[in-house]
Amino acid sequence: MRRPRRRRDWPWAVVLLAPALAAFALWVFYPLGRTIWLGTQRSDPFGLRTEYVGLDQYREVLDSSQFHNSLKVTFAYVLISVPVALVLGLGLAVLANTQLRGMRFFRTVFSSTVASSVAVSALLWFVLLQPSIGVVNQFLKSIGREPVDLLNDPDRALFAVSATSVWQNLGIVFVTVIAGLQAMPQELHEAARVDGHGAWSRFRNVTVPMISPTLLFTTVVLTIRAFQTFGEIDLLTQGGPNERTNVLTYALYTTVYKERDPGGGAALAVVLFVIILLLTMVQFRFLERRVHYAS
Amino acid sequence: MAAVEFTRVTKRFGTTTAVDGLDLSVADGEFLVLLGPSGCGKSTALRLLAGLEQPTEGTISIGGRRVDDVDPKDRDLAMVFQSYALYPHMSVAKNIAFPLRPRGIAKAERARLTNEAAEMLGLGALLDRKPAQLSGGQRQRVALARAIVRKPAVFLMDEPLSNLDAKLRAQTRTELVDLHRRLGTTFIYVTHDQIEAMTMADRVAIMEAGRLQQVGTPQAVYDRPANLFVARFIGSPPMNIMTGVLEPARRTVSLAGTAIPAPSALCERFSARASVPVEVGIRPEHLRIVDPSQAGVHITATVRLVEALGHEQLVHVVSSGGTPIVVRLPLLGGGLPVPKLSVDAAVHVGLDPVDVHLFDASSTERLDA
Repeated sequence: MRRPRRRRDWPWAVVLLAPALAAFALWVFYPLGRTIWLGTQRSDPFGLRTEYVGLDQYREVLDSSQFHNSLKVTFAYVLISVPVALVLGLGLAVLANTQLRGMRFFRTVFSSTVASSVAVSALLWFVLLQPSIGVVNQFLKSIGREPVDLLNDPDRALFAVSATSVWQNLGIVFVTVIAGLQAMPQELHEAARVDGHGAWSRFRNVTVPMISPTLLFTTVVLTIRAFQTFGEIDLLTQGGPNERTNVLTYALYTTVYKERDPGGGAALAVVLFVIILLLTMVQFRFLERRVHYAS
Repeated sequence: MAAVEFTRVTKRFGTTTAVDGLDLSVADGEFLVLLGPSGCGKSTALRLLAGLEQPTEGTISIGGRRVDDVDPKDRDLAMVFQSYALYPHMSVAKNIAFPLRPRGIAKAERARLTNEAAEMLGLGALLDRKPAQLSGGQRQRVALARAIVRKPAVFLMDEPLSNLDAKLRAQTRTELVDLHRRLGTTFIYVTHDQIEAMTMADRVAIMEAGRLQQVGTPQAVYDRPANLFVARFIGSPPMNIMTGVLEPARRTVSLAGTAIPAPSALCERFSARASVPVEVGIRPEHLRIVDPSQAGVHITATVRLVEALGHEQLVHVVSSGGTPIVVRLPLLGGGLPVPKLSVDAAVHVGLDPVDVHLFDASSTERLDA
């Protein structure tokens, strides 16, 4: 009697999937499991594990005022930096997607931040925003305004850090969106022009729906990146002033390395993971309805 | 409804001249077909009219209004693209209604006009579908519905049938003619397919290398091609072209080892010259395989190939002078025997001098114009 094909094939399936599963197990599932487990262990002041406390530590993290502050700061940071980077990058891509002489130069310039590291862009903005020699304050002085120390101003520091992140992300948004725009059939634009639609209407009714898969992808990636921002914060503000830029990743870092509390840090990391996971699912669920995939 | 006028219109892309000094008037309500091989400038001419390209020189007017500085959206045209250019994210209904939206038409009226256009093209049941769920023929109809929905002054069509299969193409041709008759609007239709041109056009404008070669009714361009290009381009299989010499003093044109009487007007015109090199054209359907004893002009030839197409035979022969000639023999039925010609058989090809077209060998222009 012949065995069903499905049952005959499964040993091969396991063999073929094994390398990928092994890699995932080693670098993703094991660290994730280990972090979740670490979150159940209390650490002593020297950072050594002492006792199993179950979910207590997770509860403590969720109840702490530091977590509430960091959550607020992180959401504010995401809500400022992601839409601004998206809108600016989309705008630049649409402008640079015209057939004009010298446009290649601008395309190179606009996409260049893809190739610059967080450290470089943080340093660049640190110099730009520097109170005495920075260009921003030079400009303020030249128009007769008082110089401001943006990175040390509790009300403005988050915006200053967000500006760095927007600048840093502009390149990736520009590159992905312009790729989407160039894949779009030119005739759709021409048809809309002949059909009586002006530039704005064509952008809204034709361009945006046609590149919606690209926009969804970019939004999700930018949001995840923004939740994981660490470099800009560490290099520019170290979470200050007055905890006003203390995003979750930075709070996690201080918990583990400054407060020597790996257990608490692990619990915070798991909470951050769950937040990003849920948010990404929500984004797909609600944004994908408006996305048109070419068939 | 509107007439269209191209005046000395030239379009250059860098060093390439796509349209070269085009002068063309299209009457109000006319169905004009721009015909030519690919790269002849016909699509560029259409895009210039639509405003999707700007002329390098010359002016275009629509309904008496110069449109050189008018944006495409304000030219009151509708265009059907070869690819149909349907918006893939919109339903059929939304695609059709799209040209109505910028015109400030109320929603209920938009729906009414959309339904009317959809009904006219038999799309009533498909209004909620997306373009990806339609067949090629249905997409083509949606593109047409989108064009007719706002009743523009002029319809532009850029090879709208080239993505359809042969049967659907033939069917859609007759439907387009019917649509033109019902709407009574000016149609300007670009194609490289002479069957489409011959069957649909009121007049055909034939272009080659950016230049207008001839404008006329389909029958006129077939009967009296203005130059060698048109002679070769119109008609399938193409006109036979043989090199010959017009000898005005002897009142003959000698070709392929024979001589045919020359039109006297031409002999008068060239009476000062001993001989004039000419290209002699004769359509395959105007040649016959004749009995050697029969009177008239004969070309002796050898059969090389016989293509039997059921309703006709295409007999490929080579004249004793070495010129390849195609003879088209219609099979008329009625119990008449089907000619059986074997390869390498010697035959006599008969022709009537009135069917002969003469072109100047150097200018390629028709001589008895």
